[in-house]
Amino acid sequence: MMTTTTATLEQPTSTKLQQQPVKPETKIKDVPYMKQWKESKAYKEYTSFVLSLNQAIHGLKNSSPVSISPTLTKLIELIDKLDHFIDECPPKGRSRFGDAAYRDWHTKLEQECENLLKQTLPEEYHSYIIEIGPYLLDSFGNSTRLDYGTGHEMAFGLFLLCLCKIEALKEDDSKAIVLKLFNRYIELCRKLQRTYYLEPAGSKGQWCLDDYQFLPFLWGSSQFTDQSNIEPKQAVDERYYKNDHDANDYLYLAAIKYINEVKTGPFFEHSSTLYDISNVAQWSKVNQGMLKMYHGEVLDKFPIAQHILFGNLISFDLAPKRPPQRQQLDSSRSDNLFKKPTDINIPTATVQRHIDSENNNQHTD
Amino acid sequence: MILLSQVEYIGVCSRLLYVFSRMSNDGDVDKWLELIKDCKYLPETDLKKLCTIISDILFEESNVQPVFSPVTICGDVHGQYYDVQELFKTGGYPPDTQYIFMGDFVDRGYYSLETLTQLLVFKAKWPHRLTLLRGNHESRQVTQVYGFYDECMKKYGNANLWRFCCRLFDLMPIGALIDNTVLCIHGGLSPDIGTIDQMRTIERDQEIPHRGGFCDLMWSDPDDIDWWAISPRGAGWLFGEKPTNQFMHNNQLTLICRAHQLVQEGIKFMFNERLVTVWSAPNYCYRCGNIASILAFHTSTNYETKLFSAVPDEKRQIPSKTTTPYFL
Repeated sequence: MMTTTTATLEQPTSTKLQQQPVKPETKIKDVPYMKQWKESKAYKEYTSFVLSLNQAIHGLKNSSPVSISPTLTKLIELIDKLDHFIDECPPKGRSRFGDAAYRDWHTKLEQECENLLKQTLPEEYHSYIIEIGPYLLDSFGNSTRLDYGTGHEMAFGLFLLCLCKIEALKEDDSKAIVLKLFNRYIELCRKLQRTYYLEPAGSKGQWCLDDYQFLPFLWGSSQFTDQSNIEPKQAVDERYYKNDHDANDYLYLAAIKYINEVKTGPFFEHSSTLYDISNVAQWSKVNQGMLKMYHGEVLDKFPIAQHILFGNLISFDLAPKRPPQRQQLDSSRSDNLFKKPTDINIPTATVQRHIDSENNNQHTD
Repeated sequence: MILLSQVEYIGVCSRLLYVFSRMSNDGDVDKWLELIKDCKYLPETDLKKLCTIISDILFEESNVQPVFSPVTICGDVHGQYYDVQELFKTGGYPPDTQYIFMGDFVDRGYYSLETLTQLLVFKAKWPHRLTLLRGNHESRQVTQVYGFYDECMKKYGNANLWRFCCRLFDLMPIGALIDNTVLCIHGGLSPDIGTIDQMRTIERDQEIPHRGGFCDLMWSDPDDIDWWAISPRGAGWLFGEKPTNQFMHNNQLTLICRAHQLVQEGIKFMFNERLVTVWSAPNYCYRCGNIASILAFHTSTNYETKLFSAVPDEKRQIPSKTTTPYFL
């Protein structure tokens, strides 16, 4: 239960001067920048965002009736369109990991991204597309390396955060963001992974949760919290995850089901961490662990963080140390995330040493 | 009464110490041989001792270790302990069969520690019957990303043993040369290295660098190109048939054996059968559904491919559940 977690976001205090959208770029060029990342507004805001969505879907099924705004419906349609691109880019046959036809799919995404977002978002938000688009482009894997990992999943999370910050998505959408939109996104990612045989990006395999995703387990464990129908140990039991009714209703079960579809060999070997987690007594404990682990294994890892894009919405600026008003995240309220950005000072001449960090992109066999 | 000079006395003592240490090592090694049969890993102090024994052996080996046929070549095994047992059943157990393993012992699979330990114990028992070459995963940086570090943390609760193993990796030979005509190397060629003599001059006792000859030997892949191209891996190169032919001609080689790339069929010959990729990790990453191979050289020109598949689930033991620290 996240009842004691406090949000450290600054309430917009200054005059709401709308910032000029910028094309976001990477800032974490080297390991020493990780400290600045962890103290940045982006880090604080993204963490709060993940937490508030975690809170919002507490105890809910994917099929639970929730409010869905027209923009959210259109975002789901956008994912549907990207799904149709797959039909136009059939696999070419792979050699090692990765099918080169994925590059065709990604090229289509790059070409259509701006148009698709224009069709999706009301016109008042179109000026933000230059800043938001790159996050969407990063959300489905890397077309050079033909891989996908939790960093790409995070890019989609940042894309959602951007949409909330410009108020294209509202607080009322919180539940549907996870249960409908994110769920649809994950479905597409799985289809891309299987169709084009994408390599797990920087995966620790069984020593992490899963080769590709993290958030379905994090938010998925929140869905189970305080509902006693399925226990943690049952989530890895095929009688539960193979039941389509349950798997369609819970992100966690669908994720376990997917692993068992793509992996062979014993579950305790290829997914030993999930196997061990099934031993935890309560879902609230699983959920807490997932949040800690998301920091430890995703947010705080340089190989992932080095690819994060920063602009005015996802800001690399230092987060204020003492927020003017500390607020408890004990409900789904996180209204400060659903606000258009206020004026932010751009850091003066951040010196960025371009040292060789290519090794962190290395693909191994 | 026998009178010894001081020099003689020291000589006798050190000789006795050596004999005793060998004897006590032999006892340990035999004990470990029994233990590793059941997919076990050693207690911390024992693994440290084993690492010390192996370090002493590896110190004596060359960058390009000379080996004589008959010998069996193996590619990546990636911590797939049960499949490595299948490998030995297919190729024969040491010391009856002599082996060259072309690196990538750890990461990806669940049993990196057990697999590495088994190979090290075999090496301690029969130092001249196993040659363990370095692969790109025998590195601090890569093992921290791809699982071996986390496995050591989980199984030992600290990173000491991971550090010991990484020190050992630094000492592993870069390549092996069978009967002076077949070169075995983990990755492939480097535009910076034209001769085997150049390989012999590499200061190998270090973490694998991010670039340069040593890095390329660990990371490069052959490809259907003429000369060289940038590798999508972000390290090493793609090398074509021409540099391969040139290198073989200059070094009077008949074949290059390498590993490093998953091959669905377990083995793949390229460049008019002058280069071969041997892959020894069946059902790689528990998902690829590939078969695996080893290549048995009766002589340097007479070789035989042996194929094997992943061990079925029911032949593997189920480990007991433990709690991941995040979930305590």
